[in-house]
Amino acid sequence: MNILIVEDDAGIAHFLQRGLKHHGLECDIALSGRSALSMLSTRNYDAMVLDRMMPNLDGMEVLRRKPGHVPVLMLSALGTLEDRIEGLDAGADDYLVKPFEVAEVIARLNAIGRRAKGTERGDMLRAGDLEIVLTTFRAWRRGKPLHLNKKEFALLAELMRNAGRPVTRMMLIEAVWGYSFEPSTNIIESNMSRLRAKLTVHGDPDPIETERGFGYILHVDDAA
Amino acid sequence: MLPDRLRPRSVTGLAGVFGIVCALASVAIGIALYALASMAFNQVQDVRLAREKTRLLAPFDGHAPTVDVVAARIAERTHQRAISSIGHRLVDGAGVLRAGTVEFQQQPRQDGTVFFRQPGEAWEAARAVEFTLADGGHLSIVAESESIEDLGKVVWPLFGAALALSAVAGALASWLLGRSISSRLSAIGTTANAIIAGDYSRRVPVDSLGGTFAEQARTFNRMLDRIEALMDNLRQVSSDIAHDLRTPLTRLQATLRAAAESDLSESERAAFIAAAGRECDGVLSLFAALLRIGEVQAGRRRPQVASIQLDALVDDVVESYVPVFADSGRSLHLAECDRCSIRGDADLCNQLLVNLIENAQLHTPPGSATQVSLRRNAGAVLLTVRDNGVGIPAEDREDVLQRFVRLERSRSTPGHGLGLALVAAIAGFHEAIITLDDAKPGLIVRIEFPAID
Repeated sequence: MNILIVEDDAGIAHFLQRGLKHHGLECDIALSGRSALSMLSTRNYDAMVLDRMMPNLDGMEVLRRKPGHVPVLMLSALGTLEDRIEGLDAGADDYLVKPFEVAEVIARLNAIGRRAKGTERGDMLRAGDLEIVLTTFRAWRRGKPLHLNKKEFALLAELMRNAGRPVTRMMLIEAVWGYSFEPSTNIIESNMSRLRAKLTVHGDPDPIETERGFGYILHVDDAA
Repeated sequence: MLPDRLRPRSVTGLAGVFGIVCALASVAIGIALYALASMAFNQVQDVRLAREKTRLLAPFDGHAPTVDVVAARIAERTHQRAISSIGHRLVDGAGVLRAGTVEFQQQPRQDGTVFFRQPGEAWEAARAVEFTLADGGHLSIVAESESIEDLGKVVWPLFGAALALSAVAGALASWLLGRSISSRLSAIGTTANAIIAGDYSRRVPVDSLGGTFAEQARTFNRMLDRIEALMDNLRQVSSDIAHDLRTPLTRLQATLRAAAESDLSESERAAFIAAAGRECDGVLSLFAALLRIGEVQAGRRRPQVASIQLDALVDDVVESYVPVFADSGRSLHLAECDRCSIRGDADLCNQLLVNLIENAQLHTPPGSATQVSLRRNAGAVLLTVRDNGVGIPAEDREDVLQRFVRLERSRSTPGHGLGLALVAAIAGFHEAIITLDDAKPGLIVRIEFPAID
């Protein structure tokens, strides 16, 4: 993946660049909105990390003027729901509040990059030996029905959408619960352990891997 | 509009302009009145003249009167009235004066004004008519208008006095008006200056008589109340932050210093750095909670308010937390859940319930049971979270809804002490009433929302 980092703070930009490169992502840095627009016009990027608050041409303005197809992860120190809604309404694909962890940025870039390519079609999702129908809340593993409650179902769906790639805790909170805040108890762990128990009830191996303190990955490579 | 340079800037200037406007208005009224009065006077004179003419020229023996007849009539009338304001001049066909003594400056025109004089007197203006008789005689009648001249003599000085009086009265009235406005403005100005200087308790005096100015002052004071409340809030938050950040920052500093020691193994160093990271997380979550409270209290979430199905929301949150409680050896149970809607912000309502439930989980011993219920009463929706833990002493119940209040015994438990303060802020945002009570044993939190269906 080829990423453009638009961030006026050179320290943060280079820290992010180093982190992304470490995970095998190509990336360029634009230190202003203006240079971002000129770089976007000369090269094709798979996704863009865009700082919201920059002098002169700010992130919102870059968002309005950028070529339409580049998915955007907006970074901001402004964390209120209002700011988030404003950013998403202006065309950002995802919104992350500073301070952030590089792994969180990568997970979200992967998610929006895949979303932009439009791999998800219809209301049926398949990943390895798992199969779910989003509209009827029905799920199967190896053709055997799984009896999941709403939260377990939503967790599985989100992991399947990002199969093979890490999904962070914050991404799960946003996608499954729709909360804009992070609960302080282990709401994800408890619900995830119920889901895992149901996935392995017939003796199948656990397809979900925990990345401690960070998130989860649904593995599909070893499946049928 | 006046050019800028001429527009009055001070009360005195305003008064001056008002005076001039009043004087000009008086002049216009005076001129109009004079014109109307003299027109009416002329009409009266013209009626008298017409009557006199009819009498003098009445047919004699069925024929138009001759000069002789008219002369006789004039003589008779003059004889009857010692004093008359009507003057005559009758000249026969040969140009000989036959009656009357009046002398004209020129021949009077039909229905016009002429100058005439009685023998030995000065020329005067008057209304007059003239008529040519059948036998060539020429009759002129004049109605002496001494009266209107006299009127003019009296009226003009009076008018001048009235003019001066109205100019002065206008200026005075506008000066008083201006002064009353400017004294009120300066009261507002004084208050504003005091507030600028830092005295946030100052208020604009409210006119005891009521009216526009009083309403204005009250609105202004309400605005100041709001500003003062926000300022207090801000001061409180700043000092709370300063107070509550010092502790984790001190720990962070100590941890980082320890990590920098030279005689550490790699694993020990890693442990210190991980601990420092956790301290940072704590500081960040404290900030997030503070910002969230500020956001809610500032009313910035209004746009997100909509009709929300509270029973579905409660059911969803409880379902998510049942496994959390189970994993920690406690139980969570949804007792009743009536169908009901409120107007609110779904995200905030989620957070309210999550905070209450997490609070119950964190502050009750293992084995405790927590029960959530949602009931519809008349016009109200009652959300209750009840646990059978140790509860909160009666004297502390009000305090825990404030920021940063953590009871001594819960100092060791995780959390930033803002959970219930945020609950209180969210309840306030939804115009809900929050009460904390003794569940004997345990804590019962009741939140009463206004219902909409």
